[in-house]
Amino acid sequence: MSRYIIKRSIHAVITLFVVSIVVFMIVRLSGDPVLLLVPDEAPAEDYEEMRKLLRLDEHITVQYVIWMRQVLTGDLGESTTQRLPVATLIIERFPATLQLTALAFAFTLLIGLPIGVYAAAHRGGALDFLARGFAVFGQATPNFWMGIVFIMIFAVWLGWLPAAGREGGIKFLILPAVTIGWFPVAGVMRLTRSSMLEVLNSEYVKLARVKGVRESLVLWKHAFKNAALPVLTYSALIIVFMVRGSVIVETVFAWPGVGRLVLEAVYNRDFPIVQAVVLLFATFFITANLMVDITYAYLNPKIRYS
Amino acid sequence: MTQQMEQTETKSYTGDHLLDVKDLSVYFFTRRGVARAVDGVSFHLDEGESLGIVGESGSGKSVTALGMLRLVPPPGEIVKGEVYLEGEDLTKLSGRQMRKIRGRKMSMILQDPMTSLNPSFAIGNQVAESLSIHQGLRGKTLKNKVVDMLKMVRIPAAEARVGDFPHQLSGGMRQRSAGAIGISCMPKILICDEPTTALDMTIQAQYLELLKDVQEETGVAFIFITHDMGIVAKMCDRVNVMYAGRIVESGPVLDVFRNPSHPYTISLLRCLPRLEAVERLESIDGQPPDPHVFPSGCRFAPRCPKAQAICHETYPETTVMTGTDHLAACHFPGDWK
Repeated sequence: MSRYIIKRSIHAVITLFVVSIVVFMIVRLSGDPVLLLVPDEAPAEDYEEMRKLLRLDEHITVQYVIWMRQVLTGDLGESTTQRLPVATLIIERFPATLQLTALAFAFTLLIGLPIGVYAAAHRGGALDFLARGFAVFGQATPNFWMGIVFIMIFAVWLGWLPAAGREGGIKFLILPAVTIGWFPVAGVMRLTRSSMLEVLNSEYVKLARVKGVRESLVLWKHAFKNAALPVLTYSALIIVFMVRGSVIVETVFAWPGVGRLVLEAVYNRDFPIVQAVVLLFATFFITANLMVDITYAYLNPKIRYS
Repeated sequence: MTQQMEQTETKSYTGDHLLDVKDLSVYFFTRRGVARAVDGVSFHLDEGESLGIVGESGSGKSVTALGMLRLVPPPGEIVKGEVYLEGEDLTKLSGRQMRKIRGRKMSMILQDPMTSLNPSFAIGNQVAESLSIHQGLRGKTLKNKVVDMLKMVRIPAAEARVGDFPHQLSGGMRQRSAGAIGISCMPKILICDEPTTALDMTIQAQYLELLKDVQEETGVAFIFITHDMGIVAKMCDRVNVMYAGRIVESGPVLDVFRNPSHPYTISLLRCLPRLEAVERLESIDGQPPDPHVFPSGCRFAPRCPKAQAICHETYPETTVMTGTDHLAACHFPGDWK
C-alpha cells in the first residue's frame, strides 16, 4: 500500500510540473500587462522600465526559471496591479471559496448519493422518474444561468435569501452553494443510480440475499461498497468542476473568493496572480485525485496488490 | 435438554417430507407477455437426501430454486403453489420471516464462484456474515467458527486464508469458500446451482467428493441443479427432469437411468459421452419452446421423434412407471424405444 502511495505521489508531482509550464505559457498569450499599467501618454522609456521591473524583458525560459525558483521557496510573487504579495491576496480570499465549495460538495454528496441509491433500488418508481428528469435538467443547465434564475426566484420574488455578498452568515451561502452543486448533484445521482443498478444485478448481491441479509444492508454494504468506485472518481472531477464553477458563480453572486480574484486578475493581465491561482487549483485537483486513488485502493483490494 | 432438542427437531413438522413443493408456478410478466418459466411443479425432498433437477438452460430449474427461496427477481412472481419446509408454507411468510429461513434453513451455492463472492470483502467476513446474522456469533467465537467452516471445505491453511480477498483465491478455492458460506449455518437444505460448470474436470471430481463428505458430516439435504446427467448419477438419490417449466419425469436415479420413460429423458441420456462410444455425440434437434407461447399439448412434442396427433393436442397425464416413485408425463411412456 505505501509503495502504491509513493508511486502515485511521484506521478502527482510530475503532473504539477507540467501544469506549471502550460499555465506560464498560456497566461502570456493574453496580452502585454505593461500596456494596462502605464498610462497611454507615457513615454516609451517608461514602458521599457516597467518591462524591466517586471522582468518581462528576459527570455521566456529565464522568466519561467525565475518564477519557479520563487514558487519552490514559497514565494508566489507580487501582484502587478495591486502591488501586494500574491500569497496575501489569496489567503485573504481563500476562506470564502473554501466555505462555498465545502458546502456545495457536502450538498452534492448528501443529496446525490442517497437519491441515486434509492432510485436504483426502486427502479421505475415515481422517485426514480423524478430523479432521472432532474438529472437531465441539472446536467443541461449552465450554472451562471441557474444562479441568475435562483436569484430571481429566491431573492427577488420570494425575498427569502439575499442575492449577493457574504457579510451576514449562512443565508448568503445557500444560493451560491446550491448553484455550484446543481450540476454535480445531477451527475452523482445519475452515476450512483447506474452503478448501483449494475451491481444490484450481480451474483454477489444475489448471494447476500440468499444468506438472509437485510435489504438495507444488501444495498448499503454489499452493493454500495462496489458501486461507490465510479462515483468516487467522479467526485474528484466534481472538485475541479466546483473550483472552475466558483470563478463564474462567485462573479454572479459577488462572492469575494479566489474565483473572483482570478477573474479580475485575468482582466488586468496580472500574471503573478493568475499563475499562482491556477497552480493552486491544479494542486488542489491533483491532491483530490491522489486521495481518490488511495481511497480506491482501500475500497478495491484488487488495485491494492497490483 | 439435548434429548428434548432432538425430539423437537425431528418432530417439529407434521408433513411427510422435509420439503414439499406443491404446484409451484413462477411467471415473468414481461412486455412481450407472460413467460411461464415454472409452470406447476411439484416435488419433495427428505432429510439428508440428494435430489437432482436436470434440464436444458431455460427449462426453469434455477427459477424453481429461486422460487423456493422467494428470491425471484422482478418482473417474475410466484403466482401459484406452496412450498412447505418442515410443514411451514414459505409462500405465506413475511419478508422478515423469510430472511430467517434463507441462509439458516435453506441456502444456496450460486453457479459461478468467480462472480458470486463479493470482491470487496475478505472471504472470512463473507463466511462470518450468515453466522452473525442467524446465530448471533461475535468476536473470537465467530472467528473460530469461520475457520472451522473453511476447514470443513478443506481450504488449506484456513487460519491464514481468512483475510484473503476472492481475487487472491483460485477457482477451486473460491468454489469451496462459496460452499463454506452455504453450509455455515448448517441448513437443512443446500441448493447447488450448476455446482461444477465453472471448474475444470479434476477440480470438479474433488469438489463433488467434498460435497458428499460435507453431507455425511452435517446431514444436509442437497438439491443439485444441473444439466449434467453425470453429476446426477454420481451424487443424487432421486432426479426430476424438467422441460419447459414442468417436470416431465421423476424418480429414483437408478430407475430413471435404467428405464427412462420420457423421450426427453432418453435424449438427455444419449447426450452423455461414453468411453466405449466411437460415433459422434448425440444432440437433441430443435430448440426448447418460447416460454411466452408454450404449445398447448405436450411441450416436447415439436422435438419428439415419436410424437402422435394427441401429443400436439393435450398435455399428458402423469403415469406411474416401474416403482411407485417413478413418474413420467408422456402419452406413450417408455413404450416407444
